[in-house]
Amino acid sequence: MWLPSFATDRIERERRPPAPEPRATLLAIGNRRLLAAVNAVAAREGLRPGLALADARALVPELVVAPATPDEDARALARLAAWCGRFSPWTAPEGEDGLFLDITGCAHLFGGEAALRADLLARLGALGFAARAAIAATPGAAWALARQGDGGDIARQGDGGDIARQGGGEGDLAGLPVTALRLPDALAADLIRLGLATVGAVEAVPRPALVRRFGPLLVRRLDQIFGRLDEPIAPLAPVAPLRVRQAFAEPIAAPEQIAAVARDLIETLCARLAAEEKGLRRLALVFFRVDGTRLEASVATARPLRDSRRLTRLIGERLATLDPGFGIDLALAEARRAEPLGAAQPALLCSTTAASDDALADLVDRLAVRCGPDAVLRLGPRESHVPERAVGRIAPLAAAPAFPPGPTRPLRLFARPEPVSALGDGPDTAPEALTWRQTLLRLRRAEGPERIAPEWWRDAEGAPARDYWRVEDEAGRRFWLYREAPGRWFLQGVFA
Amino acid sequence: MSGASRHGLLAELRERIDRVGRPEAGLGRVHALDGGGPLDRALPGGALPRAALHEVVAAAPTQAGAAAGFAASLLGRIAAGEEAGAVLWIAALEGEVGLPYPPGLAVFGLDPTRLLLLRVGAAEDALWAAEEAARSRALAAVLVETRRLDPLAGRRLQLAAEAGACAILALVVPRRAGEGAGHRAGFSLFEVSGLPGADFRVSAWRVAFSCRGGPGALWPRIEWCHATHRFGVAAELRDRSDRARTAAAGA
Repeated sequence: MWLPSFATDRIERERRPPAPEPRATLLAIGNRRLLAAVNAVAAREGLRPGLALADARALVPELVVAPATPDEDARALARLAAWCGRFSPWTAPEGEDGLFLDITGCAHLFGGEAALRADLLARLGALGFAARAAIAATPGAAWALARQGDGGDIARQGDGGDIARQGGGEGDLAGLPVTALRLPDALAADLIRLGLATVGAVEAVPRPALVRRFGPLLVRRLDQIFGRLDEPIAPLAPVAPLRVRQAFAEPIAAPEQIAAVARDLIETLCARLAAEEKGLRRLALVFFRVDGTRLEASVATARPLRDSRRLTRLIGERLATLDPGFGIDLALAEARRAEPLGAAQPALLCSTTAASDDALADLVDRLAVRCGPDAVLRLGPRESHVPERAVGRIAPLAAAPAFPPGPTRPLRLFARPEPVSALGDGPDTAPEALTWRQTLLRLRRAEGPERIAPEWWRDAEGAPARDYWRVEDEAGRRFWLYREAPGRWFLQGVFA
Repeated sequence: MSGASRHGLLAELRERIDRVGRPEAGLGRVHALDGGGPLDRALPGGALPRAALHEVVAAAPTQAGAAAGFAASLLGRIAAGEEAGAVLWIAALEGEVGLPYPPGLAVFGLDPTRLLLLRVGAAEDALWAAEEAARSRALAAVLVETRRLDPLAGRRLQLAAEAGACAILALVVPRRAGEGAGHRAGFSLFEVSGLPGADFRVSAWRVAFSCRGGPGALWPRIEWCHATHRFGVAAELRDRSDRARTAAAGA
């Protein structure tokens, strides 16, 4: 698909002018100001990208210009590629003004390839994007036909573009000019100067000669356009292994309608998962708003799940935060991550019955939805003597290994040891008093030191060894202190 | 009717009334704190009900660590009465006193392999999570840390504990000394301040105790031995608490 005036359409879409007006974006190269992109109205007046602004103004005095913003254009194109996810999961932006959609196996959902293209162009036109689309057996051929095909004038509604004949359409392709080969401008100009003006003419030249004279790119492009070299479309986001969709003739917006749609989609998805003996670990619901915005709600579960009632309840809280705007016309449920769910269940945290297993998994999921995916924490032993490394995160529902017996450890530990200023400490004695968080603590008892050396293979720069002390102040409060170097004391934990 | 038998009759009637009002409370298992010692004798019926809210309140903000230790030992006793099931500790005071450190929990009789931690920032999330967890019937016990527990929140937790037959411990660390113990919303309330111990293998607290359907008690020194995992009340103090109890019963 080709969006010949994407950069200007994008701006126009945001401003919503009352009538079509000639519009262009500007690029400053040195002290010259050149047109970077022009819209259809400006193109009809004879303006082309690369023209100097002064010349353009002479031709079209009422031309509206805006600075070119390639970064924003790229981001907007990526968003549009994501929006095209309503047609196919394999979508990717191409260059500055193109999109690839792999519609293999998707066209039947729209009533055939021609109907899919018509729908795509109509929707893009409604969003304010001029587009031309071609469907072909290879991405290279589709690229060429979208830009070079004889679709006539660039159309805002669905009459632009071509569908190449099934099985390659080599006859059509051979007649295309060499600029259809996705080559750098200089290379294409060289070919034309040598009289190789069409794809067919280049194809007729012996390949070793082509490689010698023009490098490997030209031959690769030829192979790609004729399908001799596979060119997969790399989607922006990983493609979900399983997804179900539902389109609406009338856009929906009421929260209860959205909830009902979510329930239906999840039920369908769970039925498909049951057939594959799989359960969900990550579920996403994607909604496409009529104004071209894509909304997403997703939840993760602690273990594979395909109970549609539970999944619906889990994702329900997320749905409430979505803004349907003027309505939603398409919804997808995607199994972002699915894992086998059969007879073998993982060993769960000290549970006695299957019912309490389920209840615990359910609880962990609900806590994670409300408090954040990293909030539910299970800590298991790690092979380290350094206190902050001696425990590590394990899966919330896994069976935990026991902690090895060791020296006394504090009840609570600070994530970062807090520096304290110590008074009256000697090389082998604990301080008599210390100031922690602007409070003076007079110590009356101390036990230590316990020397803990950092692992030399972990800290390349050589972290100092720590001498740990248990201390108690006059009020009976107990702390865990360590000294890193003479005079440098830290408070790391609290005892009871 | 003698004072002693009248007291026994009253206690039995109270228990029956309790069961009428709250069916779960009668079924909930009870947990001996010190094997029939002075702590258990201060409790109506001689034990702590499982399906209830118990508040452990730090007497001052500086007593957060000491109160956490007392709460951990209480949590350990409650979980030990259950042969299985996880214990959820909802940590909301990480900035003040750090996160519970599993290798240090075993000395309070709490098995770290059964522990699930939940780190929350907002107080309302902590209380919501405690309610959800207690009602889920998936856990042996829940501990929730909070800055304050107002009567309404306390009542909600008590109802959740009854509905899910799950003990909830609220560890309340107030912003100012003495603020947290004004109102008891659950079954029992322990106001705790730490005391200097004889050595680091014994933890000691001063505890003011009140509970529903009992006279309450003030224990100037309760000790927890890290090796035996048992509460102890010093001998001379045991007499005083018994005297207080007999006086209250006779009144």
